Parts: sequence; C-alpha cells; structure tokens
Amino acid sequence: MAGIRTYIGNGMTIPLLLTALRVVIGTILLFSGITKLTSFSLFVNAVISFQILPMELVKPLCYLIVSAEVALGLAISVAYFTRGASLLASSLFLIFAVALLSVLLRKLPVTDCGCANYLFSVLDFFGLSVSSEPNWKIVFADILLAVLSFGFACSSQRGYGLESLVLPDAQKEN
Amino acid sequence: MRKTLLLSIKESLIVCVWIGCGALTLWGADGFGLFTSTFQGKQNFSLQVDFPAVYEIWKRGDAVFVDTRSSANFKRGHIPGAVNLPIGHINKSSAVLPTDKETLLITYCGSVACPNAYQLMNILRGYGYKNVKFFPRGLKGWQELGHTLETE
Repeated sequence: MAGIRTYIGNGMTIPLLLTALRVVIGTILLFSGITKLTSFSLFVNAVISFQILPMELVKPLCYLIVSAEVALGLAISVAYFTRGASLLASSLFLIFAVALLSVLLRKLPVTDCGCANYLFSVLDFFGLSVSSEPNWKIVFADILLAVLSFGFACSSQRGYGLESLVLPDAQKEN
Repeated sequence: MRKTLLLSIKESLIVCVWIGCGALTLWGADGFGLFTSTFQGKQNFSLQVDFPAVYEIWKRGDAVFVDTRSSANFKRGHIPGAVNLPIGHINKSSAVLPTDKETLLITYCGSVACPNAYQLMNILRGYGYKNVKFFPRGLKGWQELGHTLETE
C-alpha cells in the first residue's frame, strides 16, 4: 500500500493508467486478429454477408484486416510506433463501426458480425454468453475504441513501453 | 499537436508496410490451403452434409439443392435438379425457394474453397428455413466422385 502511495506521489499514476489502457487496446486487437486467423473462412463469410464489397475484393480485404489487427495489436501492446499504430487502429475501429452500422440500418439477416467479438470474446471466456449478431453494443464499443486509439495517436504520453527504451529522447518528446 | 499528428502519419506509413507484408504472407499461406479450404472440414459438422449422404439424399429427391454460383456458371453445369440462387441476388421471396420452411435445402458452390454455400445457408436460416445444410465440396467434389452434371 505504501508502495502504491509512493507511486501516486511520484506522479506515476497517469503513465501507469495509460500503459494499462494501451495494453488493453493492443490485446483486444491482437486477440481479435488471432481469432479471425484461426477461423478465417468464417470471417470471410461474415464480410460477404455484409454485402458491402464485390466478391473479388472480400478475401484481399480479409487478409489486410487480419494482418492489420495482429500488427497493430502487437505494436500498441509493446508501445512501438505507438502513434502510427494508434492512428491506424482508430481508422480500423471506425471502419468496423460503419460497416456494422450499415448492416443494422439495412436490416440484413446477418448471423455473425465477424468481429471475433473483441471484448465479448473475453466475456465469453468467463462464461458470459454474448450474441455474435451485429448489434448496437458492438458499434458503440468500436466507436469507443476508435476514440481511445485516436487519443493515443494525438497524445505525447503513452505510458511505459518499448518505445521509451529504444527511441532517442528527442523523438520520445515529439 | 500538428507536429504529433505529422509524426503519427509518418509512423502510420511504416506500420502500413508491416501490414502489407503480413497480408501478402497470409495470401501466400492461403494459397496452400492453410485457412480457407480447411475450415469447412473442421467446423460445423452438424450443418454440413457430405458424401455419401448427399448423394443418397439427391437420389431420394428429399432435398432442394441450391446453387450459389452465377447464373452463367449455373447454365454451364450444375447438380441435376438444383435451383440457382446467386449470393448477390437473394431475397426472402425468391421464386426458386420452396414455400414450406421445413423443406431440406442443401446449398453448394464451386468447391471447398468457396465460402458462399456456408454463407447462403446462414442467410436462408435467417429467412426462417429450419432445415438448411451446406455441401462443402461443391460442384468440384460432385464431379470428382464421378457424378454427372446437368446443363441448360
């Protein structure tokens, strides 16, 4: 307890909170990418069912999304190129939100959102049953994650990570 | 703020290169059938129907076979008696669909690598058809096992 008080007293609370938040966002992306990779065809099916893209573009887009999620998840988790990765992650979350929104507004009979359920997968792991059908909760979760990621892209503070160890001080401050 | 955003964009470009390399790697790996062609064999056993059962069902005429490919491909050859319902032209009141929601429907497409059959199965379930399965090997599997096709 005394140790924690010393940390707070030393002004380390905010970096610690930022580190935790950044690791959570990175882990969500990484976890999501890996689950999509292990059930890749189901993900392709889900994207097809959104009826947004022509069939020829669906698979290349799926490769890009899975690759992006794994790369961004890793980069954000360990804080390496955090700003760039956060900016891209923010765009990715926004794209997901818009795609799901379009499905909801068009009332398409989609049974799987293909989002690997992000946080919902974690909830499912703890035995909480969550629907994988597109719903407003997932849209809001995506928007929230987009805003948080954008915050990291614009902020000079990112908490503790690999970047603070390997990058020169001048770049860290920029 | 502007400087930070510019740095973010610069870093984004570097990360984009990683993502591109990753996507190319996935594409290459999928070319060896690492992802797409294996899922249907591993998952959703209760939702799929394969040989020899599918042939028995076809012989008995117990099911409506639904071809998800384009009408041009359908005309070139399809499982005898199948109806055509291209994935991009689906609606609840498609004339080719039976009115009885209990009818056994078996969806199929070109081959095991094609995801449309599984997708159409999900859509038809969404339309209230209770007895829909997919035939993962598709037309290629049907031909490989020596069964004839019907042309129009």
